[in-house]
Amino acid sequence: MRFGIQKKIAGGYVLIVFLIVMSTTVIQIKTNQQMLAYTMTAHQYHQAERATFELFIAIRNEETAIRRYFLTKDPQFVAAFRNAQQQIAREKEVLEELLADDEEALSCLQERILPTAVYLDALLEDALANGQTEVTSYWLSFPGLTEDFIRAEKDLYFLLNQRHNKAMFAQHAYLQQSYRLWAFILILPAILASVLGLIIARGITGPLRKLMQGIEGLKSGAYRQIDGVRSKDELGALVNAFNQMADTIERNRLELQQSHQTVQQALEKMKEIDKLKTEVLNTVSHELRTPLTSILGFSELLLQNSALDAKAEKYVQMIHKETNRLSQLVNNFLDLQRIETGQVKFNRQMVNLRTVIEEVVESFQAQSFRHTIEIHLPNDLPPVETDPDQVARVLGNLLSNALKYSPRADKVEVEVERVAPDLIAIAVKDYGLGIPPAEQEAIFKPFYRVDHADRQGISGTGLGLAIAYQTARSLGGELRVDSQDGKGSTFTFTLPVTVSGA
Amino acid sequence: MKKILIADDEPAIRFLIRATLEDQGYLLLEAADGLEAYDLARTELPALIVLDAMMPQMSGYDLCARLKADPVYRRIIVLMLTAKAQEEDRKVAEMAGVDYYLPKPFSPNELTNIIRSLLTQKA
Repeated sequence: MRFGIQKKIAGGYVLIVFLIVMSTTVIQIKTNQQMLAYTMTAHQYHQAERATFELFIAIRNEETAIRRYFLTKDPQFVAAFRNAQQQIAREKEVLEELLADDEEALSCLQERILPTAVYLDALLEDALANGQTEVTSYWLSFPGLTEDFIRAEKDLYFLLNQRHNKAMFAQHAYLQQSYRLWAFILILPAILASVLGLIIARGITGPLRKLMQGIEGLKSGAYRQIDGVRSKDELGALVNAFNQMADTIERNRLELQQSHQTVQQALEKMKEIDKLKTEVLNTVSHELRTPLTSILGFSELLLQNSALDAKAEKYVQMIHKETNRLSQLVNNFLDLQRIETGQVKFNRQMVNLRTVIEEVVESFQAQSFRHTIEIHLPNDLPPVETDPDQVARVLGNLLSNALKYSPRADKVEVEVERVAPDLIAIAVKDYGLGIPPAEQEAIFKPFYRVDHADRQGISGTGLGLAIAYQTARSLGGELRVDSQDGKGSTFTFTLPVTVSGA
Repeated sequence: MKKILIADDEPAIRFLIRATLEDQGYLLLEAADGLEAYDLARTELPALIVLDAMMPQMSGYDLCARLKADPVYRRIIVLMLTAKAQEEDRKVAEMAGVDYYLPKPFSPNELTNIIRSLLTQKA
């Protein structure tokens, strides 16, 4: 930042002002000199004119004096002559000095004017010396101021006047010329200032434009350094700062991209592993079915047909029961996988919910002699559009759960309520063991089972509620639990439905 | 005596089905893969096939579809056993013309009852 923009502009301004002052001063001095020279010349000739005029008068005085002396012989006229004579000498001296450089005027003065004075001087001196003071002799020897003389006077005077006028005209012409020069001198800095301003403006707008392009580029994600800006002012610093900022942004972007890629790769890998895991589990589950079929089948055949003793029959019953449980587990697991991966295709149709619920309840009632399953259904429940198999799946799992975890109670209630025109709540209420508050969320996770002493001996896969939850969600509904530890639980399944005719 | 063809690539399952059905008064045939089952079905013309869905050489679905497309063999009753108790597979089986669909694991008792009712229905 050696030269700031402000300094540049100020520098340009000072330069222009300096140029104006300098040039005007030079012109002023030069003009003054020239003007003085012309004035001097004009003055010189003016002086010469006056002196010439005085000289002419003095010569006339001399002639008058000498004429009067010759007429009257009065010596006072000699004195007048002497006065005039001195006057002439003074003027001659003055003129010779003034016209030292003017040969033409000088020669005119010396050859055509002064001889008359010299002649008069000689005439007087001669008369005084010889006593010849007759008028006649005067007239004889001096013809007076002749036409030639007067013409010479005129010539000299005109010459000087001409010289005087010439100097005046030259001065005037020079003044005219110097006016033009002045105008030019004033226009030149204006042009100079414009050019300088243009250069400075370009020095500012150029980098600004590049900066704008850089910012536009950065905005559209195309990173590019700004180059070609070499100014060392604030703009240069701005461009430098911009480049550094763009560098940082680009570096951050690249780093972000890289880490994003890393995360993406890790995610892909995890997804792959997850997929692999699911595939392995699926395959294992499928592969389990064939041996399970054999074990189940043969144990059933054994129980039916063979004459087993009581002990052996008990063992085979155990094998059959446990294999059944394993088979259930595999089925449930596969069901859950299919629901979670969205493979279940829904079969929506208009159904009477009462029928669906009653059928499920009936099948579960058949399994348990100890419990009574009570159904509370509103009478005005309209036919609704939903998938009956999935509703049955949710309700079945909830009922299975309720019966299993209320070993000492004697009833389970199913309560159906139309909570909104298009929302039906199916609640399964038991008076069993209940669920500790801390675990009420976790029970919907696969393989999660509440681990308490009072629950030991109750066999389960830990998948029933997970299936019910996922199925409820895939139907667009919700499954919530409200439970008091030791007093029982109520699972509420809210199901959005399309009501017939609505 | 009615002929029943047992088609399954698992010897244990074939043995289980044979054990289930052997005292019921049927003539039992066995095939260990799809092609063998297809050949046997055409040469022996059984009344019913207990057909596994997934078999080497030719799948149960393919086999069933071929039989049901033929005017002579279409009267063979096809009872399909599958390890995939899935809705989509059920649809594929229906499209192939399967007469009854039984997911594994099945109960031998159930199998006996189903076969009996299928055969009396047709008779």
